[in-house]
Amino acid sequence: MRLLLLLKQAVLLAGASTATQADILLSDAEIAQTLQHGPWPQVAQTDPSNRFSGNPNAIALGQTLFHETSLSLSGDLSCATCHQPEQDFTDGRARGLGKALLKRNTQSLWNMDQFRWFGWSGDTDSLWAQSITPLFHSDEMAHSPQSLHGLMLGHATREQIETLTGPLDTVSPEENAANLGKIIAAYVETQRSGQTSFDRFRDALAVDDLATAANYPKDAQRGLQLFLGEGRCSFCHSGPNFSNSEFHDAGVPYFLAEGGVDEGRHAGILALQSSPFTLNSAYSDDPEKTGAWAVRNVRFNHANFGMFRVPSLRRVMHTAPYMHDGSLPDIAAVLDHYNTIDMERLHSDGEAILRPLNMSQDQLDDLAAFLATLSDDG
Amino acid sequence: MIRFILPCALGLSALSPAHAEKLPIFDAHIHYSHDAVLSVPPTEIVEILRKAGVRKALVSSSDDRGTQLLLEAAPDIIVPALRPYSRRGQTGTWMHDPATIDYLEDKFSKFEYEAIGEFHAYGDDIKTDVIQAMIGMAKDRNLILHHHGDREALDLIFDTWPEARVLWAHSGFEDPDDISDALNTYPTLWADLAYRSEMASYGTLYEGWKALFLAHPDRFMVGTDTFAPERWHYVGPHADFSRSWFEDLPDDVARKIAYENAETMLAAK
Amino acid sequence: MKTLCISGAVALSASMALACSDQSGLVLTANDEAAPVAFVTDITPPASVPFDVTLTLCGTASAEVTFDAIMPAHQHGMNYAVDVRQVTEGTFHMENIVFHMPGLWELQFDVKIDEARYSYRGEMMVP
Ligand code: HEC
Ligand code: HEC
Repeated sequence: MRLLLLLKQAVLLAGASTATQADILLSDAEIAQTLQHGPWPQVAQTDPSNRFSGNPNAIALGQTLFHETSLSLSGDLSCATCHQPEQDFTDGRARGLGKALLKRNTQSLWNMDQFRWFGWSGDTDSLWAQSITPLFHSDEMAHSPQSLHGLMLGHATREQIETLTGPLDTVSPEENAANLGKIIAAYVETQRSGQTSFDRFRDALAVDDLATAANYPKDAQRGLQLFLGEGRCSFCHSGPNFSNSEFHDAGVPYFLAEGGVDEGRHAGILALQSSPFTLNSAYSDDPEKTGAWAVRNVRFNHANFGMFRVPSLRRVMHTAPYMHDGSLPDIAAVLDHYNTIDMERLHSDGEAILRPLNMSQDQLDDLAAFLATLSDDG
Repeated sequence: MIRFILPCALGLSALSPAHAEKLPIFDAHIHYSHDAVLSVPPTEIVEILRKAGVRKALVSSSDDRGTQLLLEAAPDIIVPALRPYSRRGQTGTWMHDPATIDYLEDKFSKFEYEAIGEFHAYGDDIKTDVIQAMIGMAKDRNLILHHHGDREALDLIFDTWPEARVLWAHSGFEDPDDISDALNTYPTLWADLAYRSEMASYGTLYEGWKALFLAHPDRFMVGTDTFAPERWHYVGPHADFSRSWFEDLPDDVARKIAYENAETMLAAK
Repeated sequence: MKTLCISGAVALSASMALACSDQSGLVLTANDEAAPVAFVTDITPPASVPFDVTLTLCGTASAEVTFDAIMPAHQHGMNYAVDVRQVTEGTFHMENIVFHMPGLWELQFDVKIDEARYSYRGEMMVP
């Protein structure tokens, strides 16, 4: 391996730029498409709807609260029970387990500032609102706004919280919840994944540094070509975060084993409608209400039923199992799903993107090799 | 001068109609195909329909067995239609397959139907021997044609059989002006609104659609289109969605679109 | 409560739309020869990020404008309604348009001027 690298460098030093060019399999059009998936990391921006965003005290306190089992009514469940930091903020289970089995797979919490909607069905439009949800979910931390308020009045962190929010006993239970969500979100949003070998390839292409770009393995390059072209993956898994942050039907069944279905985005829109915690609400700290257009203008659509948010593919190798219900155990199973997708599940007049790819095993291996280069940031 | 710009504020009640009494629904576009039969049993289907306030449903299924199972389970609700497909996934090929005719004849020899469809056909597809023969079978039995396709195909259906009663699936995915033109051209054409949500935003009808419904109050009906098995669980939410924009219409028009038009269409033999 | 919700629609009376001497934008195709010349800001829209576009209707005193867009290759539209407002005489601002996929999008404007209705089409490529 070392030797090979040295050899390559020797070739490069000899000024064999044509040899280097031959090492880049991508056409100019594919290079232009590739550039759209970066740069990475994106410039971190504070969240204007969360006045604690970027505040070091809030970040530290948020981290403490994230691990606090006392935040659950039963006293034995924290955010970190399911979102385990050493497991890429997931739990390795198909579906999350709280007081009972949850409907969905536990999402990892990387790069949250890249999303417009949160959760698999976009029940919330901000990270802080999403961070409140488990506090009140009956199968998770199971509080009511009142019980949570009561708890915090006697909580060990009360003083630290009050230095950020002001006196706790004068706020309403709802506002208390919003404040807690914002403090925890201040921590969660700092979890950003790093530069991967794909990003170095992309950045090298951006400055025409073909020598560096040529270090990117050939199988990953071929996989990237499939991702951008024949596979049509980049229509949905687009941009630097490899997700358009919108909702699609990827042909994944959405029956629940216990009966009924997971309504996906349909339920997400209903949840948004009844939520007191949106970017359009008084709980947003942003006087400009930046981003509130989305909840105001989102369209109700029959196709929303059974649609789920496009997951980011950054660090995807570390977050198995996959899909909203964790029904696919590994990347091979996901690729097989796209390779043999059941067209009958999709409406004939619906979105015409997915169709069975019928790729060879070599092609699937290339795609997997490419996906691995989105996960090797350490 | 700006006359109006009102943001679409999401109201709590926007999708749950205020009427204490739920309008009953005639769901005119529903399938119970072989894959759905395997995952949602007939008893559950009937429960879903009753809970949703669906008092009648025009059901067609690929391989037809599902329709017969439902008919047995709820003869008071199910209005059977015969789909010319023995499997799902034949929507683009069936009109070139002579076996379709045998399939239809076999079913007609065993069961009673009110309609043929929902079948997919665009443009000249209608001129194929298979579809011509199928239209002939409908004519012999005076059955409704539930057609999914474009205006050109629709015109050819009426060329073939001018007195046909046709239910235009999804209103052809056309816009209000073109739907209106088709309805004006053919007095025995009805249109279902399955898989369409662009007529309204959170309970309020858009101007063009409202005008269309008021101009043709006797011609529209709603339908869920259960194209994947899971979507049977959308029958209830879909009925609620329909009721939410019915509120924006005069009561008599709402009632017609909810169920009366479909019943009139069936009775218009 | 029933709110009148006409997102993406706006009616206005502008005296005369000027600003047509400089047609540096993307000129739209009209369905009718009688339709006034119309153009929009010529931009490369970002993928799945909101952006704004300004529509100029030349020599038009009063109009009602609605906007929508589809991706013809995939037969789907936008996930959001678009806010339309007048900025100056004869110019309209479409705010928070989201083209949620890379590829070719078709812009569709419906314009009502007195009793006449025109539709315009334009295309934008999302990289
Ligand atoms: C019992 C397991 C469990 C617990 C406890 C839990 N979560 Fe989650 N989390 C999940 C699951 C499952 C999802 C997917 C939820 C959905 O789609 O509805 C999720 C989703 C999220 C998301 C959305 C991520 C994205 O990509 O949009 C965030 C943010 C989040 N959780 C933060 C938290 C915080 C903060 C806490 C503690 C206050 C917490 N979670 C507690 C299981 C859990
Ligand atoms: C039409 C949009 C769309 C296209 C095209 C698409 N995906 Fe997806 N992808 C999704 C959605 C939506 C999900 C989640 C589906 C669910 O949970 O039900 C998903 C899930 C995934 C996951 C699982 C990630 C996780 O964390 O669970 C992977 C991996 C993936 N897609 C890779 C690909 C690849 C590779 C391609 C191209 C062959 C592709 N996708 C094409 C929309 C799309």
